[in-house]
Amino acid sequence: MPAQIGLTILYGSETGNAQDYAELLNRRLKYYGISSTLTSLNNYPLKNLITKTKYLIIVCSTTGQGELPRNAKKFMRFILKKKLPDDLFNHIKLTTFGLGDSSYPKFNYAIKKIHARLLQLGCGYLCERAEADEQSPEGSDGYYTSWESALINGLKKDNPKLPFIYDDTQLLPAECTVKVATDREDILTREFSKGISCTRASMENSDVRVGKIYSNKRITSTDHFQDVRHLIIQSDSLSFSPGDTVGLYPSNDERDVDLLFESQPHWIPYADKPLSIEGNIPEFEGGVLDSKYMTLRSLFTHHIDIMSIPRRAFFMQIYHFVDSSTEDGQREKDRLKEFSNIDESEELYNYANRPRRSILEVISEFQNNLRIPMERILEVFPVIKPRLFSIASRPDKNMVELVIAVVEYKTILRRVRRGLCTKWIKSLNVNDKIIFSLHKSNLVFESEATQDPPIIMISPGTGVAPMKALIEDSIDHNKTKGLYLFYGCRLKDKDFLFSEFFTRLSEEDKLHFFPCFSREPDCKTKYVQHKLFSERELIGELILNQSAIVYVCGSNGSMPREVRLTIIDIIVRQGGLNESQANAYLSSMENNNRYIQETW
Amino acid sequence: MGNILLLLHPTVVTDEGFVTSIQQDIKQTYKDDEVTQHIIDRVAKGALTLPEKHYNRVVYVNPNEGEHNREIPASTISTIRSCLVDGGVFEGDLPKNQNLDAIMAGFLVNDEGNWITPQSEAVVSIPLKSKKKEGTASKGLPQFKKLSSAQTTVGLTDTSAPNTDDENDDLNLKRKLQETKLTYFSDSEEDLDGADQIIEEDDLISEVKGVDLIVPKKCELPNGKRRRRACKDCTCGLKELEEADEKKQRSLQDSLLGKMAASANEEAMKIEDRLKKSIKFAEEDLAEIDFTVEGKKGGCGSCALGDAFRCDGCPYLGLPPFKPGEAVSIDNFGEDI
Repeated sequence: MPAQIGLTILYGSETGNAQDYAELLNRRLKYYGISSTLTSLNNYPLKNLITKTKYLIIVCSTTGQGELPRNAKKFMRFILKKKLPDDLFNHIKLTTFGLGDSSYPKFNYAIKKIHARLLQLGCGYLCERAEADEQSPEGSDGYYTSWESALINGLKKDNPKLPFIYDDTQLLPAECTVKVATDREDILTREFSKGISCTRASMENSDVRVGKIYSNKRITSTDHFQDVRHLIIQSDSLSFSPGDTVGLYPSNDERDVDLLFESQPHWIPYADKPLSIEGNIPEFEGGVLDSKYMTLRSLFTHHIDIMSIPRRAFFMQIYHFVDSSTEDGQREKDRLKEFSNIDESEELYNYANRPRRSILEVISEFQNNLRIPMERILEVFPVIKPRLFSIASRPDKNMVELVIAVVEYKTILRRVRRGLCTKWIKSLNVNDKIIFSLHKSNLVFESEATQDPPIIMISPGTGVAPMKALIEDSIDHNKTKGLYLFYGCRLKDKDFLFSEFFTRLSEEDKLHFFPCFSREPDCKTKYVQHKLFSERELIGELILNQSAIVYVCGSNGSMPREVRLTIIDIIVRQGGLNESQANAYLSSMENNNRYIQETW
Repeated sequence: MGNILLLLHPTVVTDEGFVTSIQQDIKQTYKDDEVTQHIIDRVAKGALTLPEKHYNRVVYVNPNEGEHNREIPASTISTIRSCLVDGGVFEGDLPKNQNLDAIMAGFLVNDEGNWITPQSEAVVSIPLKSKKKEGTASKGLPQFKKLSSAQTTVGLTDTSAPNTDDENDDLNLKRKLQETKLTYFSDSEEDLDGADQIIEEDDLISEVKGVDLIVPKKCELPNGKRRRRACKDCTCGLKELEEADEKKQRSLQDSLLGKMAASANEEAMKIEDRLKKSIKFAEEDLAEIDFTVEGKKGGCGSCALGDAFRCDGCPYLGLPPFKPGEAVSIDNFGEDI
């Protein structure tokens, strides 16, 4: 049995990457003979920090503009309380592992903040901390490997009596068990999939609500490569503001679940038997299905992510379940184990990440000798995470609109890659019931200097969604001191979203509209940052003299960075400042919520 | 025979009947004891001085609901602490959210929520003299290290307290400290969004020091393999290289598949029929092509095993595993964009 030394691993993870490292560490520590508690930062009962934690390990990524991931924010709110004494955690030894990308200005800010605050609250030293940089030649894995050995050394020093011998040949005892009532009647769920998904909303679970699809239209032309959906959900007593988001809870395609079952035929006789989950149950954001309908099939359809790219933690589990009695089996087991090895991360990357191979495809490929026990399912597979989308409509009690780009692309694999959520959205028909949740962003479009300041909105592609909400709301309430929309897309008649709406507002002088088209031969300003620069006198006047708010929204990558550089350049030129002064000016805009950026 | 102090909240004394009934209750419970009665405000304001180490029991009567209505000033708690004998009890309508103040004043909090003075002074490891009399903070006040300008709170551990060798005392101290710490963890979610003052998150960044940071193990790939992959917004050209590789791969396969398609004959059709029954694909979902006979040239032996075992640049990369000589099914399932 692994030794209990009061070790707690908490993670803050937006995309699942930090969670994967935390799970990796958790498993590896167990192979070293050390037991640990693993959960997200928000989910950990904070009192246990006092009563059960002697060693605290935090793994956390940074999202957006130096922000904490959603599942870390509640924890942060607690530790930021001023009234906490500076020796609250003086019984804890701490180390942290941050995940970030140094090409972003607020590199690893989340873990920096957490670490600094926990030191203020008295945490002691366990080992060096790490700020992994995805841009470095070693990648995050290089940092992890070095950090883990420092951590093991730190623990060894403190626990000289423990052996710390690494043994990964034995399967660890299950922490979460799926129990199937093999002798009970089948529960047929396959035909009622959409309705069953809605049973996640219940009296106890007030986070999600039930809505009805009012419309689900494609708003790019049919011959355009990308399908963008304008999804309208009807519900009641909704309350939201511009900038808020909607969480959607996608389900798997039943045919994909069938394919998975084909590759694990020992499950098929029990696929529709009642099922229960015991032990350390993973976090199901958005609630769990009504237990009346819980079967292997419904669990896989609504809760288990089989379409995502497998993580290292997944491979760390499945190689244990390969029958290695044959030569083929032995080879397959060795290979799967290799993929779980931190030193072979390039192998895993080439096999899984680069071609965007799904968990389902991996299992299919190894189906001859891989037999995953039913009771281990939740230890092997990740759980489907909700997807957040910016609201694209004015505050309303009954209707909420979203703009969603359907994710479809090709890699070396023959089968088209599809986003789980957008594939599900495409399958939604008018009047279908779905569950969803509303998430506050608490954006304020106010400035201290002036009431209702002008707002400069910069949003290529589907980034225009929250701008539409903001524009509608501002016009409804006569807050039209100046709305300036910089919108970018490829072609005028293919992917120009809400063109009639914005053009009409512009003609009615309610909106200053600056569209630009990257693939139109006669359009000189291709991208939003070019358009901004060509309007630099206006932008400079609005920002420097009228305290305008700048709101940037769109896909992550070069756009937000280039927009930022362009704005700084404009401040330099129009304000007569030098570069460092302009940088400081922009930073102060950010701190005063005058430069708001939402990217994904 | 002991001494009991009945401490009344000012709102109580307006109700004569209530006061009488309390007095009777107390006399019933503690028949042999001497009962004294005061209004708490008079104690709080220093209008009367309580004898030191005199009472065995102080009973607080405050019928008002709500913690803020029951609040007792910290200085008054200290005063009451000093009027109790060792092992004395402060009980009754105590505020539930002031355990910390009680502990700071040298009380222990027992399971029933009563505040108890320790049996002997030696156990009291966080002594705090009455502020009221001294006017200034005494030596016994907990010391705190200055860590940050944003940090305004006082520490819990008193480093100036004398160390005792007694293990029991240590345990006691530890338990008490833990209890004190736990008072900061409110159960209610509301508290998180409530009126608590929050330090500015961004100010923490300036506190961070670059020391003690892990330096990653240098990446050494003995075989000179490509290590890094293209970033999402790659500008260095790696992404283009990768895309070109993929394109090459696909066109190689397409030509391969094109040739083989000609030989996708009756046998393939039969397999398709069989698959249709079990997997129930629509007809157009399947393309059944046998290209293994001619296609398999090299002879590394791993091509048939699937992508997990294929070499870099293997013409089969991206295709499912197959058995040499057997038909390979490329399922087009779901390609109906």
